[in-house]
Amino acid sequence: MKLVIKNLEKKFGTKEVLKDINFEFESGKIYGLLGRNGAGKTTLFNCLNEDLEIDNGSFFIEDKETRKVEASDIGYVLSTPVVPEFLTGREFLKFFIDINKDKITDLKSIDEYFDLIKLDVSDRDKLMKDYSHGMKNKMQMLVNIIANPSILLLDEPLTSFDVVVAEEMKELLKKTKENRILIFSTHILELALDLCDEIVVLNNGMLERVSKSNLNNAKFKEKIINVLKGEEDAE
Amino acid sequence: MLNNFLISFRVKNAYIVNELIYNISRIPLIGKLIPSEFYKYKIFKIISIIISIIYNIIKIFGYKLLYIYFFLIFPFNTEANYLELMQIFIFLAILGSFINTEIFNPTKDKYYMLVLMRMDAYSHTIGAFLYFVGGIFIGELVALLLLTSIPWYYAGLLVTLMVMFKFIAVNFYFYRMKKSGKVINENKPESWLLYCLLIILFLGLAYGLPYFDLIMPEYVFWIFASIIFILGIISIKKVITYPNYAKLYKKLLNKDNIFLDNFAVQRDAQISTNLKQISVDTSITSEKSGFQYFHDLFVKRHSKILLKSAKKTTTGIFIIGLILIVLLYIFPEFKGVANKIILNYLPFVLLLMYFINTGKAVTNAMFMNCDHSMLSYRFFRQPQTLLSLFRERLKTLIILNLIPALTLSLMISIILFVSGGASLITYVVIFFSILSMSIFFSVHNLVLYYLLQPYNIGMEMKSASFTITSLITYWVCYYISDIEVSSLTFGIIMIAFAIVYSLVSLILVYKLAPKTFRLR
Repeated sequence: MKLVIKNLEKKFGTKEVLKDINFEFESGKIYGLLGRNGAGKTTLFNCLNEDLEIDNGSFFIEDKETRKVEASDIGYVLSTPVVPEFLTGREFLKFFIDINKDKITDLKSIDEYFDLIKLDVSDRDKLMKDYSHGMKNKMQMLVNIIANPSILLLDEPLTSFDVVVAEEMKELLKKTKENRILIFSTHILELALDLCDEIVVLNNGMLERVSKSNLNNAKFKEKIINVLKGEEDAE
Repeated sequence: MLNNFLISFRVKNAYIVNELIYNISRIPLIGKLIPSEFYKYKIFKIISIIISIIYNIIKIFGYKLLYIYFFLIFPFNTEANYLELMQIFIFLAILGSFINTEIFNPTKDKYYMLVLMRMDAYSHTIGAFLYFVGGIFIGELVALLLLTSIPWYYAGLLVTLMVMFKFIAVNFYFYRMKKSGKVINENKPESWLLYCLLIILFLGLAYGLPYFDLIMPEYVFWIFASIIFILGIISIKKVITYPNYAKLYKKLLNKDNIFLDNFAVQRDAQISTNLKQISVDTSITSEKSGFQYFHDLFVKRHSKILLKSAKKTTTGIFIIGLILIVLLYIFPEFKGVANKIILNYLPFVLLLMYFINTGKAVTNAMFMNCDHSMLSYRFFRQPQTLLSLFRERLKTLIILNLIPALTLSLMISIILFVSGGASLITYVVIFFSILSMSIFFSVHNLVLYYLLQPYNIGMEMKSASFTITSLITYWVCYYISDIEVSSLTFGIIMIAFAIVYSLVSLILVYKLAPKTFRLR
């Protein structure tokens, strides 16, 4: 399966944030989306999630046949986690499972899902308004994983986690990448190099794959920074 | 010090202009005409400096002239003796010195200069304080000379004393802070009761003593002035050599004390208030499933806010209705008037129902505590999900608003009966038309919320179409309330309209809400 983006454009007023984006994301891979502040990473995610209308172009799934990206194809984990704070973690999962049960394959019990994100037993029945930023982030990631979308967009999801949880989440993401496209935006280069199979740079509104060739990590890092600065080509 | 003072002045002008441009840019429609480049145009800064200088001149002279006029001239029909005026002036000056110290006033300017721009606290404070007392000295002197009969040498002495009072008050507060270990904030006295009593006491002394002809003899005035002068000199030294301005402002200039009118602060306050509305009662649970489960928990955990208004309105209607019924028994001569009002002024109830409908408050709670987060989930925006939840919400909103509406219908029917009665059909039409008004407003508010979703992702209500529609709704209700038509006719039209309107708007919601109900 592939997510194909063709000639995608998005403007805010006169500012062209995304200019003629052409790219193919393949399943089974984690893509590290890098870009400088204001490069348009979140805008790209919002366009793919249809939170924003695109000005031009298209994006679709190419599998055995070409088809439109449906709502159920996409999971989107925001950098600032938002959860219904009047529910407990358990109630939120129950509601989510209730209304998505026909889409969930391999349905587990609620506690098994909590175990997956290692949420403390004592926190599972607390109102989410009392959850920490990291716990809300875990919940948001969990509901997106449970729904089993074929494309998972992650907007800087690990920055609020402590080192232990961040490692756990990295492992979880690695496990979930099979048959799925994970696009992971981050400002932390080491994290992208460690977790992602491909590095993609959003620069001047264009999306480019940074080719590693046979560079070692240090040289590759240097190359990415140069590409971000616009001093070197991605290829 | 002068340099710091001038920098503060320029910064203040810059943010006043920027705030003005920003606020204009947020006005629906007009805002779109303001490009972001506006902030860089120097002409606005120059205009602002000119306005600011004029404002400062008005503040120094205009306000002081008004102050002297209202507090010394206006209270007396005939011209008072100058000693009398001096005595009043002194008591008012003492009171004012402790209420308005400038140094203990946590202002936005100080927050910007000392916290954000890390300006030297000492030079900023002393510079600003000298400007403050200098303005008082000149402004009050001019006002006293222009408006009162006080001789110039006494006027000069009075304003000097006033300046001394300011220094003494500041020094007194330094002393209190040292003793108590607490920071003084002149806008938040430790005891409002004591604060008010002191104001009453000093005002009483200022105006009460002359009323009883208790005027300070001139020699007492000179002794008093000498003491104040000595205390003042000591206080000036203390204020100028006070070493802890930086520490003082570090504590005083916190966000609780300063009203920062920027949106982020207001939003944080709003979020915090909304979260407090969620019940933490752990026994709350639900046996339902899916959307009904989700909505049931929302209603139960927000019962305080959802029911509070309905309960208050119901109680109010019940009590007023009961009083009216009792009054009609006591004064039967008014029965005819009451009967006529009910039979001819039903349109007015429409305006009343507009005000008592809780639709806006409920949809606000729905957005702040639920939809703001849930709309970021794609599954929640699916047509099936949205519409299932819409149905649940509509049921709740109608029920919530039917409680006061039923009470109102019953009360009006009883008053109609007590005041002389009407035909059975009139009773039925009035009763059901009030219920239909309630249902109409419930549907209207929820449908508007779904079709024109007025909030943006930052929780600001920012939708010109929503604002305009709300205004039109109010205007139509107001206009109809003034129409003279029999309640029977109006009631029948109202019931028919409510049915048609509800059906049409529900069709619109089903067709359009999946596209319109999203985060902006």
